Amino acid sequence: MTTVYIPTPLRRLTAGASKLEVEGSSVGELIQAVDAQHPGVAAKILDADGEVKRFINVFRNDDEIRSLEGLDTPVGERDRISIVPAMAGGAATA
Amino acid sequence: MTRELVLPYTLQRQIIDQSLAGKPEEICGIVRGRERQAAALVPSRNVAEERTINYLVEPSVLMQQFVFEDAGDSMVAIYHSHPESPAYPSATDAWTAAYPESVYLICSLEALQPVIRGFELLDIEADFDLTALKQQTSFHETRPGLFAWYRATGTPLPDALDRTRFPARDPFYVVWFQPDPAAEPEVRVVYIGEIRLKSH
Repeated sequence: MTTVYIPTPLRRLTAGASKLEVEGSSVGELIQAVDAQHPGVAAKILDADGEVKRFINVFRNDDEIRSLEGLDTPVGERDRISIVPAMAGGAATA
Repeated sequence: MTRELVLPYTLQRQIIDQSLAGKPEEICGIVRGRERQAAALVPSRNVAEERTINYLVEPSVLMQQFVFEDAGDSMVAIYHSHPESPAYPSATDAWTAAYPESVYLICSLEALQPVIRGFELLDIEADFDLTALKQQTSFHETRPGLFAWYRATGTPLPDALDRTRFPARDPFYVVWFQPDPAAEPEVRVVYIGEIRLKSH
């Protein structure tokens, strides 16, 4: 089992759970395993093409998975997967 | 009831100092705390491309929210600066708001004295006809492909946002992203609520 950390905006889909223990051998499998328990989570993380949305970062331990093998990034039982929505914004423009 | 956040003077001073040091670029970071009491800042680099008008918190800093939670704390706030605009959420801030439980702190350097204000940015679930709203309001393109209309408190509600179907909560932004005119726009309606900041 691998621990997946769920950010606050997605917790209304996970009955308030901030972390979940799920089984899978890759990050993509873990996301689908979370979605099987809590339908709707995958749709918040993945776009229509099945890729991680631009404004979502997924980490395996301290590494963002885009710098690894994306959703195919392998995971072990001791790994920690964190789903982190980006925080951005900016000034008003004329 | 107005929500509050206790933001000690020392932390306010740190946000202002970081904002002044970063000028003309925007600065940003997150705030650790517990139960509406801010305890410490975690400054971030601004990793946006155009940093004079945008901010993007380092994802590795945002990941600290889980470290806070494992220790019984939380990310009580997210802060950024507006070097040359008011301490009020922009349409871009509304569009990108991702953490409804956190207070959005904005430090404006527009006036002689820096000002920090706090806000909650909350999605309003609403069903309406965007095409009709576009015809009835004056909206502007705030970033390439990102359009916004702001409904100030007490101003008339366009017919497209019929009161019988639209939550009576204001002020709010209607923001939509349509980089390609042929594409279906993505739409958000985001309520802006002021959070009272207390120093102790």
